[in-house]
Amino acid sequence: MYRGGYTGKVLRIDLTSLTAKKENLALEIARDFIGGAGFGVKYLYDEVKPGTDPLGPENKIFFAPGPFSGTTVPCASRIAVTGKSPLTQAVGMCLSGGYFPAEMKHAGYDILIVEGKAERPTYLWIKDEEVRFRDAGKLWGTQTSDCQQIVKDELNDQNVRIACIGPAGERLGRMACIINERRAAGRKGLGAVMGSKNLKAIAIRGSGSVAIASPEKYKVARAAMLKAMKESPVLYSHFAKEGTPSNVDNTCALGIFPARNWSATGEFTPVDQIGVEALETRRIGKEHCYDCPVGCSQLRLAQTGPYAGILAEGPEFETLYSFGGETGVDDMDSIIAADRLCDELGLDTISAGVTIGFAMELFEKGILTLADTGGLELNFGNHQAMNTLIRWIAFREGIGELLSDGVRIASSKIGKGAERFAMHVKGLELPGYDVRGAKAHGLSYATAFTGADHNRGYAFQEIFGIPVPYAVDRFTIEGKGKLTKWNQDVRTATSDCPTMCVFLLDMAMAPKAPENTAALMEGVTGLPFTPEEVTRVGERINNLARAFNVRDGFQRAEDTLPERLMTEPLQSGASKGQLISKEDLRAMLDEYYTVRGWDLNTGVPTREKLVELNLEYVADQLRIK
Amino acid sequence: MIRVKIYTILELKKVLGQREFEVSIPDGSTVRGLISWMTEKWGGKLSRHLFHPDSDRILPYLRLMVNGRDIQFLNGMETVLHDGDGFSILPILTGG
Repeated sequence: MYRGGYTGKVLRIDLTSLTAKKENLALEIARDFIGGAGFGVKYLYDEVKPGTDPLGPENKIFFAPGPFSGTTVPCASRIAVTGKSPLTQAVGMCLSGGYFPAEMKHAGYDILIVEGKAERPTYLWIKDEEVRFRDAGKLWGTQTSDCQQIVKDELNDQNVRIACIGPAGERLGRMACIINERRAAGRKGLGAVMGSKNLKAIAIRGSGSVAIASPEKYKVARAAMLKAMKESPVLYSHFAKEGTPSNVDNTCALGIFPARNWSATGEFTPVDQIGVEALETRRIGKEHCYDCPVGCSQLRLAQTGPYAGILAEGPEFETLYSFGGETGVDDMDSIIAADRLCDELGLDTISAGVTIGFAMELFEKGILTLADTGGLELNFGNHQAMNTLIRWIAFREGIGELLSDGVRIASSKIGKGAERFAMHVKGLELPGYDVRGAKAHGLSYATAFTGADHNRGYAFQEIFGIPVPYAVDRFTIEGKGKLTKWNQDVRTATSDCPTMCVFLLDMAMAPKAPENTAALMEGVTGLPFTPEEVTRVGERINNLARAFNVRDGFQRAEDTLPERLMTEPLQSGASKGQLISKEDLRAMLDEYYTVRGWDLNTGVPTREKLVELNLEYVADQLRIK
Repeated sequence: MIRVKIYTILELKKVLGQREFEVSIPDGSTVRGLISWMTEKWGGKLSRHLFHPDSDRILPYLRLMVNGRDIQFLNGMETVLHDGDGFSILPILTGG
């Protein structure tokens, strides 16, 4: 049935009964959703009922690489991990790279579904057709790198690829992530979902390969992609050497590098301390994901004080924001240490850093006191306190217990006006762009189906000035609804589904991303796609994910931004005076819903739109007339 | 004379020697005038980061901004600078 790209197999794991079942992947699902995020959202909508407790056994986790994963399509070893998020109660979906995604395809699976709950700590061992449930009693409590090494030793195979959780996930911390190798499916607390199922790790080894349906067409499409990558003015010449941290320099220049819990953006700009130049002296090597010729991941070694000798893969831009600007820390080595600590404990660096920055602001305002913090001086810039607090959050110790479920839950427990300083959308802590100076990026934070998520509709037009599909003024709101729809749909369809690294979209493929995906789809899978059909897949997924959230009570009121961003203009820097006022947001949402074909008052997709997207059954289920 | 603050990053910062500095230029100067002044001062080592080889066309994706706004949404190269303005030159970057 499938000629290439897809294995056609879904592996369903029931941890309650400790059984594994193999199912066929329906061709229409492949056609309508491509893979990766598309498969995750489709299965989540169909199988996880409204009202499900994200940390209960009824929630499920879907691991889905794309049809390009495990082939020789460059930069395609990506996997979407999807479940209902314990942090947002909405769709929880994020992607990771490394080698695990390709290995899963080589083992023969397009989707791995984990459901139920094991009676005791368990890990999965999947070797091609063979599935084993193994005791993880002695792994429980281990850090992620130790966990992976112990499993490899136990299985007597150093080439096994492993996705696992750390102590944060075991304790159901809602900011817990899933780590594979040194990569992370970082956001939305899916590590806690694994923990709630007593699932410590998934180990995979595959001996197969992924077929190519039309080798000649594939050869042409792949050559075109490699050529575009080579012609990129930045991909190999700069990005392969520096990775994502250059964006510290860029966002500081634009006045949108968020600082001190978003109270000092444009004023605290530690570019000399934690920008590219500070990292150059600490770089000791780089790492590539499977079949990636770029290798943007940098290995960096801390060199000073108590942090000397600590190695991290990173910190990436987002971590430099969360443990740098956000917390007011300008000590590079302490950020490297914080990055590594989060990876080992299985914590999302963005959410953890924003939560610590939030606590620091409350401490400076007297809302939290030394009595609350257990004597920890939580002032902005205190990197020792920051690193201590990471550990406390992961282990739920001291004030870490209060903070371990993110800023929304913590602020509601603290009260005393703390909610005003909780920087999140739908419960997901804000990533590293002060959207007061990038309006489409802000609209995407407000509307993305996963909450404040830079990866759902990244406005590279505003952040980097890339004029695709057209140039925009980052300070204006006109046309940003239409642009946000384009960003969300194209990114989903061309990066998150096939699956492919998003950096290629930004740096090499932006002008022809749907064309590139369509050509590769035809070559790899044999399924004919037009560029318009590719983009339509992205639209379908954004609508289905929206429907999942609507079914759980999300409507227009939830498409908002933190009060601070709508009432406090930026005071310094190149975006001085900017904000997204409530009226600005209202106007952008009106335009966005209009171009999306969603009801203006509720933000619910219309029947007409759902029918157009082959989602009539969703309209029926939601009783949309 | 007016004072304009120039800001740049990465390779361009290395060429100019500083990330941020002020210059004094004649009243009524435009972006084009400021760039001419800069290329005269720093010569070829700056020009090759700004222009297509052997032409006066600005490289694609290079962002020229006045007070944080891309000049294409102002008056392009003819945008008139005022005392206290910030002028940024940002090379293409991505990744975040």
